[in-house]
Amino acid sequence: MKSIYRFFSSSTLALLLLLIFAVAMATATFMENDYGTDTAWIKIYDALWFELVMVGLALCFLANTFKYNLWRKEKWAVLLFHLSFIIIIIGAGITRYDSYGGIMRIREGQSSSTIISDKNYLQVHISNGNKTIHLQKKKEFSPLNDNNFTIKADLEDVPIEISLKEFVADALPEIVDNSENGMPLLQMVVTSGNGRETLFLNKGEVEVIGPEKHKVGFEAQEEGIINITEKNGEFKVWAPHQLDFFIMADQKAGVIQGDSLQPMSLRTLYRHGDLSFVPLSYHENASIELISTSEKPKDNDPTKDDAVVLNVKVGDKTEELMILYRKGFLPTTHETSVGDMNFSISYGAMPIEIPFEVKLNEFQLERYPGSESPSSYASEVMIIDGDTKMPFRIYMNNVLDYGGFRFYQASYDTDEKGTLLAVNHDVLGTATTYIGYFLMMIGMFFTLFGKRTRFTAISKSLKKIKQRAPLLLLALFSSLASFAQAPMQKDSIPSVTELIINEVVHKQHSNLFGRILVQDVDGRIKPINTLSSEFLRKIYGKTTFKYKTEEGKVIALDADQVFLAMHVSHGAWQKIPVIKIEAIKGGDFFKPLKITDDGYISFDHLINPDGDYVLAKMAEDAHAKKPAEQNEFDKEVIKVDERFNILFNIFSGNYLTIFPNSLDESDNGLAITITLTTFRKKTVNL
Amino acid sequence: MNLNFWLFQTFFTIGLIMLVLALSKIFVQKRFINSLWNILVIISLISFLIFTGNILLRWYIAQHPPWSNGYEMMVFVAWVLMLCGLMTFRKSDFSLPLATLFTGSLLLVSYLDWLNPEITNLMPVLKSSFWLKVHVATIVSSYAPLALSAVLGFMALILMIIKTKSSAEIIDIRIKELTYINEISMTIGLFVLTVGTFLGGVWANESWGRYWAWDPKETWALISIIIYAIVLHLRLVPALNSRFTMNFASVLAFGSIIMTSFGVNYYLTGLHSYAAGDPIPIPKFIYVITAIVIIVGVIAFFRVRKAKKKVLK
Ligand code: HEM
Repeated sequence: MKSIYRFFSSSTLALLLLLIFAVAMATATFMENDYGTDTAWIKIYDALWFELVMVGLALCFLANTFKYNLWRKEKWAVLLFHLSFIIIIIGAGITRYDSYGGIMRIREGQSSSTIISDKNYLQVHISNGNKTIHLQKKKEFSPLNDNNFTIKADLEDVPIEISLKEFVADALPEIVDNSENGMPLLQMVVTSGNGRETLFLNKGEVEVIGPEKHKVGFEAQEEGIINITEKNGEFKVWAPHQLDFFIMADQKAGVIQGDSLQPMSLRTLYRHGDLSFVPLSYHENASIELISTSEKPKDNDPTKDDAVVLNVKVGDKTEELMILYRKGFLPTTHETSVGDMNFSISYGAMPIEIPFEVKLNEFQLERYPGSESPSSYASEVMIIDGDTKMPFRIYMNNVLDYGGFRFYQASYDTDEKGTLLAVNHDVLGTATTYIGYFLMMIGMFFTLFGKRTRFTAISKSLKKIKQRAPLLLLALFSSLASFAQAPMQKDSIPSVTELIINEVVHKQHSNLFGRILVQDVDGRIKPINTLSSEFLRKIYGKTTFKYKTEEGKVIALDADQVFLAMHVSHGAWQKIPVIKIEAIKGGDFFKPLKITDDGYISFDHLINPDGDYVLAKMAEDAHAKKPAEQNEFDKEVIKVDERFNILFNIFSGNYLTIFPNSLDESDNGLAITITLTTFRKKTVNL
Repeated sequence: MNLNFWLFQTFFTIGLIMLVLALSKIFVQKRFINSLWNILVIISLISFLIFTGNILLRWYIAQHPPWSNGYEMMVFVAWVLMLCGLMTFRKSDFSLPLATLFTGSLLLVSYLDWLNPEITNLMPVLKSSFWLKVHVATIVSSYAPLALSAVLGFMALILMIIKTKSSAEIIDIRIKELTYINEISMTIGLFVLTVGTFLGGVWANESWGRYWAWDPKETWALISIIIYAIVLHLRLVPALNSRFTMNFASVLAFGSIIMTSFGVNYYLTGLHSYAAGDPIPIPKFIYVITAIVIIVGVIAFFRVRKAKKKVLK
């Protein structure tokens, strides 16, 4: 006990642990950048040694409080904030081991009480006919990790071993025909519940699909399941119930009878309930090889399947099993038999049931008028907990808190008919951590402003020195306060200069224009003057538009002048570089764009010769990401996209709502919009 | 132009100068410093009155209280803070400088916000979260005292180099003073940074339901905290308990702040053009500054060692 205390009260150890902690985190941030978030978590944030460093730190805190005798009245503040670090570390520990979370997918009109875990599990059921065992292991794979693992078990004295043969990131299964150890193989696409998946069935194999556990087999022994058979290239299917079919080639639909052997054709969609499958192709003698489509380890794409190949060993017989999985989707169960044992194995997320239901009444996605870019999205949900029914609107920054679960808007289905909520359950961890934060703040406050801490002791010893102030300090700091100026503007195209010269609206005129009252998008009435300033700041980033001509003359236009001119002649303003854009953030993608040296681009230069908006795809992708996953590039794209769309709407006159429409019930309803064509004749010659 | 922008510059400058003065006041009781201090208190009072007037005017014009949106809220919080600073400025010489600095940072954040107004009422409103703004403003405020301690540390190193036999006595006292002030300033900065970082946790929890997600920016703020904690605890290890180590470390530690505030955006939040194996573009001035700091550090180290040897002889 004594030696343990001696060990942890060593100041050197404390400093060393702090240093290790800092270096580890720094490494992790770079690792995340180079090899992806998962790798950084597996290697560092989630690693046992990293936890041990934190536990060590907590012990050091504790031991040092005794060594330096901080348990004295006058030291209470210092003691308090050091102890609160222990509380914060405990809170972090609770969060790590007690909290759980994942995502919830809900389609419009449906409800769900299932969270799809964000941790992955390998689940194995083994049975030899009279006994069954169940194994479960939490396991993550990453391109950079030593992924190897082995699970050992035995069932009635027969040793069983499951180990990793191979992990393939972003795997694409490829069929290799006429291969050495080939087998007859049926490739099909199945959908059920939440996902769509490509399956490869060997002769004799059965797959379990979706939450309803539909079983589909290819020449399987099992009775009562959907079973496909092949003879001389002809296919037959037996199903326990009738199946709807739809032939893709000639768009013919129909029904085939259940409980009897019926002819079946490839490239035809068969459906029963929420299960549908399309047998795609048949290969007489083929094997499957996994090809990784990611070029660099970092590129482990969360929207592509990863694959693990397992060795399943019973006694001295080994079989391979290939499992494809994807984060955020419930996995399918694969059945196979080795020796005389039957296995059903799945790898991937696990369903977590919560004690109430969430119903999605409506998913709402707004787009900028006249554009494809989403401007916001929200889920109108209803909590159904016994007799309690509670409606709630979840959108970014508006988290739903219910029964210890927090739901926040993460993403949505591409058809915009379903929402994806991230769910987290961590009441205890969050509360503990918050208490820690709070005590820490109190401790720190009183260390600074209280009496008798080292802080005040230093201040006292300073007073004792009683010497003159090093005045040079002051000189240094007064120079610190000066600011660097914005870079000069240069490099202008003559035609743009001419355009702008023609756009100079007389100040008196624009001032009058600025006084007109309009209704803004929130429904508030304000003078155009306020509105135009907001718009110029938003689009241009400054309150005055400035342009430097080749002769070095600066043309300056205030917000009202710009706003009026934009409405009068959008043709010209489409060519004037007025949209702020930070070239450096766009990297290679922004390079071909015509961005001026001072960081602006014209509306027209964001439209390619085919008339397409060049950021359309990027903006859609960026918006679909969770805010936490958006990088600088995405954020810049979102910003430029917003500026572009707002400018477009100015050109369309959508913001000049001068006469509120009392017939429109929604309070920000579009009123009659003035298009300034009538103004035009009068203002052109200014 | 936005009045708050000017107020931000004024408050920030006043706060910085007052912080330096407050530190000097501890050990110098010169009339000059006291009068300068009083003048600055008056200037900050006047700026506060202008600030108050501006808020009242806005209230009158807009016909709604000045906290109805994120921007106004921020300005209002800045105002309250300044009020607290002015009310408590007699209690501690540090309260007014810190409150002024913090008010300045809040106004800066709100100014940046003003530059990018919310026009479409439906934009994903991530940026307008109240906690985000408080969090950012707190962290930005901590940069001033930490920068101050880096500069003080650097000056102490220079003094160690230029120390001669004849000037040793006076200069040693100066070095001692600088080191003390450095430590105080660093403690203030560290506390503000720590509080700010954990407020980031509150923000994260409000926005996406999780208080800590090892996001690179947050992680680097935590790294800075740990690094400054190491520097402040160096004295607990006898071998490292020297003025030289402390001052040199305080200069080096500022590197973590630069990384947190600029580096992370450029290197870690995935600017595609740099990622994926390209050489990391490091601005030239960073090399220059690093080289200067290291050269000065090494020279100071040898000078200090030589001086010690002489004493031992
Ligand atoms: C394993 C880690 C740590 C240990 C063992 C430790 C230990 C100590 C001890 C023994 C003191 C006593 C000073 C005295 O009164 O003589 C102290 C002071 C101090 N610690 Fe820590 N500490 C640790 C981490 C931290 C961290 C992470 C911070 C960051 C916020 C911090 C901030 C401070 C400050 C500012 C003081 C000076 C307080 C004053 O002015 O009186 N410490 N620490």
